[in-house]
Amino acid sequence: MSIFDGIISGFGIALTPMNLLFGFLGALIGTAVGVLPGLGPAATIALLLPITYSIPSPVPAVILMAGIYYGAMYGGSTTSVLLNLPGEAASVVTCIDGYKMAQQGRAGAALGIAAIGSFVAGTVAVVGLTLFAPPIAEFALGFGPPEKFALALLGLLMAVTLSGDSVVKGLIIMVLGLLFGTVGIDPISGKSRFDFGVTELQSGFDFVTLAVGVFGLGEIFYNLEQQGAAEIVTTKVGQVFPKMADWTKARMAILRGTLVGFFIGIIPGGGAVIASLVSYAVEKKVSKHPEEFGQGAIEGVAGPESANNAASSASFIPLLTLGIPSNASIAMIFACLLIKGVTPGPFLIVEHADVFWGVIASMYIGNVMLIILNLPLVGIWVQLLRVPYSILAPVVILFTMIGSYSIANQAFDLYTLIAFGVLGYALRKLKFEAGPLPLAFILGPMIEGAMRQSLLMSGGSFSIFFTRPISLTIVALFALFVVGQIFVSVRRSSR
Amino acid sequence: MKRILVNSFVIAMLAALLVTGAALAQDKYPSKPVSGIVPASAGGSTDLMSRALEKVWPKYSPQPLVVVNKPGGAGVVATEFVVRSKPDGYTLYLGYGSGHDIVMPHLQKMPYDPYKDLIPIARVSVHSVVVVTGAKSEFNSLPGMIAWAKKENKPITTSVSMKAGAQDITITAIAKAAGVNIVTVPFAGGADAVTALAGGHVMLGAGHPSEVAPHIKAGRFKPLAIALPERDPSMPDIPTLKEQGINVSTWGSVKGVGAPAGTPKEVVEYLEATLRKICEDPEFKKTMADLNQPVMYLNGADFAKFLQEAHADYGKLIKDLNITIQ
Amino acid sequence: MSKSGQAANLVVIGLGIFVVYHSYYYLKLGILIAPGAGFLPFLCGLALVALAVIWRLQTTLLKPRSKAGPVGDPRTAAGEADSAPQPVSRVKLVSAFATTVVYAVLFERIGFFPATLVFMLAWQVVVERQHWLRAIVITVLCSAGLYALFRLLLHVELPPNPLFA
Repeated sequence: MSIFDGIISGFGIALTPMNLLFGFLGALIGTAVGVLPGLGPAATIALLLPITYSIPSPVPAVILMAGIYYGAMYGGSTTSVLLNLPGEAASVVTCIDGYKMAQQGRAGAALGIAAIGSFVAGTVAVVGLTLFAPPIAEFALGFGPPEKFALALLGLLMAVTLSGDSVVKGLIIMVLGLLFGTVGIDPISGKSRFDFGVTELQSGFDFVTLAVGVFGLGEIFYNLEQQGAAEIVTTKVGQVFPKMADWTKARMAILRGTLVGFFIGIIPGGGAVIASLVSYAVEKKVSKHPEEFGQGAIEGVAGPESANNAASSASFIPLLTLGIPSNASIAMIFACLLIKGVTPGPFLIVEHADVFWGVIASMYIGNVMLIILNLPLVGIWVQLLRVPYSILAPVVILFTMIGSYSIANQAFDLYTLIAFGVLGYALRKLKFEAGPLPLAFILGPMIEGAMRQSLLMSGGSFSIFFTRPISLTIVALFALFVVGQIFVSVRRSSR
Repeated sequence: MKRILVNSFVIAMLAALLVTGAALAQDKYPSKPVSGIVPASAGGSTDLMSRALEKVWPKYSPQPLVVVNKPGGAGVVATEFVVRSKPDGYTLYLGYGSGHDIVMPHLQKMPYDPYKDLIPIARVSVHSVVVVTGAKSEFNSLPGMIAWAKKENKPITTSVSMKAGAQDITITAIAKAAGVNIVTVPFAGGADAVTALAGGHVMLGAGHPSEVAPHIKAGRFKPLAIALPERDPSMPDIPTLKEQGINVSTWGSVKGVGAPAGTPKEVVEYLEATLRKICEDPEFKKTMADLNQPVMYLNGADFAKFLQEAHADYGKLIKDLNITIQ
Repeated sequence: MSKSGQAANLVVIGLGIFVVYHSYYYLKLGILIAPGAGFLPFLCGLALVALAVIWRLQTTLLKPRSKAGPVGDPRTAAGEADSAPQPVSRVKLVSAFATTVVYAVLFERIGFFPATLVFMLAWQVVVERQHWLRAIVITVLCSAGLYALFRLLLHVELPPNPLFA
């Protein structure tokens, strides 16, 4: 199937009433969780994973999940601008200039440019996904265990070292995630690890329980302890369509943000959070007035908000072609595909063409829905911040409980969920970035398995990692990255 | 405070009664929905068979069958749940005869006896193991590949879905019967094993028909043999191992229905009759054929005998091949 | 390093040591060219101990250095928004945690709907100290809503009340 035929058939699938409905729900829920501080896209997708059991086909399920992920990128800017509180992690930098703009009475302009930038970047990135994913998928069949091992390890280490401020803390979380991933029957030796005689643990921890516990429950416990919720500084949004002067300033920032976001999204380990940080740095560097940054520079909103959208769409490329999730939210969508009997990997595009093209087409439609939801209707989302926490918190807890229970229908998972909730709370208290935990949990077994499979294939010779061209390239990149990291940290500490 | 709590608790309980209430008068079986416990997660082959049963069931029974997935503990949690449940015929075990019933007891201690604690009601299907190679492979038959390996004195790398699973045992048995060195590379599930073979990273692969059939149809795999005593009716063109002079046949992946020991005789008879009618239903047969899981009905007594034989045979095989998970 | 940080540090070291011990003696490492089930956990255990020690050293050695990053560093800005000093409420946290555990215990024993009623009511009355009338209204509405969503709309299998099932 050519790309053109593919995308046409994709629109045929995405435009059926059922898929349109799920796309709309995804955009709606995504915007809502983007707006609500505390509940990020990863936790929301995790919360909704069990519901996908009752969705008959994988297409609407993935359309819904994808919509939540990129929809949250739109909604995230709202609380950053109005409350100086990032609605989700990828909108952290938007707080700096966005909130300043709101204080200067330019909240509308900030929100407007964020939404327009998101739309442009999201759409461009989906075009990139349409054009690049099929050739990459063909190439990806050459990825055997040695290549998978190298790539997954590289991605994991990059994700850990680039996100969060402390590499050591990030590595601790990563190792914890790897260990959680080893619990249960090891497919290669058949031996059950760390089950301590508990039958339920032989299947290992469930990904949903882990993610929902650490992100959802942990966050609620943490927030309960904090007295008094954040107050809305300004509810007056004003004119959301940017003025000509703002537009000329922001135009190039949007384009640069899109490019930066797209390329960071493709790299394993990259994702919306890193993309927005890099974009902010780029904008500040190329600006003729760097002193305006931090004082309400519209480029500081436009660039990062475009970048996080482009990255969120681009990060579907490694998932759909290689079957390697590059960040926590994509890891959730990976789990969703597995639940629906679709194995992400080089065959997805051939065996499940409806999923591949249907989801991509839905992203074009979703971006249109989102700009409508976020530009004229932004005032409604602000009202969402008024739902009392005394209702929101217990209802979210019930969602986490029902979600975890319904995966394996065993009460045991409720206790594991609470245990992961306590872990999430502790990590939050100790200022640990929890993102690497679910990622390492998913990639860990992949890395371990691929390494042992490679050695079985080669009869125990490590040369297999260096004699295959793709594997060698990745290993070289890996070495380059490690050397670079060491160089940077040495320079930083000697300064 | 305390009073409020007590009061509210009473109110809560009353409300609960009102909503969940309306208990039915219980006389003739079945007077309420029957739960079918599946020892695997949604989307797997056992789940797909159970969903097919669930769909046709209401045609032959006044009460529906409700599928509940309990994938915990590699299936052991589900079986244990059925074993410990009330033997009234309202909790059934779907997928009786899986690997953890006939293979695992030889390798590890089980929290129950899979034969004494369960009553076999009927066998529904047998899912075979297909031996395949990539379309680009220079070999067109298993004996050809074996002859090459012997001549060159090289190992044959083979992808299987997990250690000590049906495929691993089958391949190891082939290696022993043919006297050739085969290295099984276990993956985390059938799909990954299949992808590795398609990418040409291993020479041989083994998988259930549902996993390999799409690739055979798409021309990416060449089927070499089927590891059953007779040809699989859903893939009649593939010869058995025995036809090719390799004296190996396995019991396949067995999927039957069981009930906890102590279930009343008339209930077991009712269920057996219902399942027989379902297995003869053309709609059910068609669905199962599409899933590459041919319907192979056996009644309770024959199924019990079949399970005993399969269990004993795997015990011998595992001992002969020296497969352990320690 | 804060008290809780020190405790966490010790927990990580303890966990690391346990994992090393367990993977060495029970899971077995295998040989380097054919790693066994205990190989990766063993490395993870060693890494945990090493990382925890580095973490400890970093926080004690680098303490005197000024914490403020370069002006306009996005991460510091976010950190500030996050770590604004706020009074904490232990009582609320502990009661919420206890209510959640009770829910988990009751879930399969008395069934989904009754357990949800108990949970919502306990949350409103014990955790949030709401007026009882408001509490009951919220409880009934939320529980019914969840029941409708999960059981009636999505057909999720949830434990029924054993009295009636």
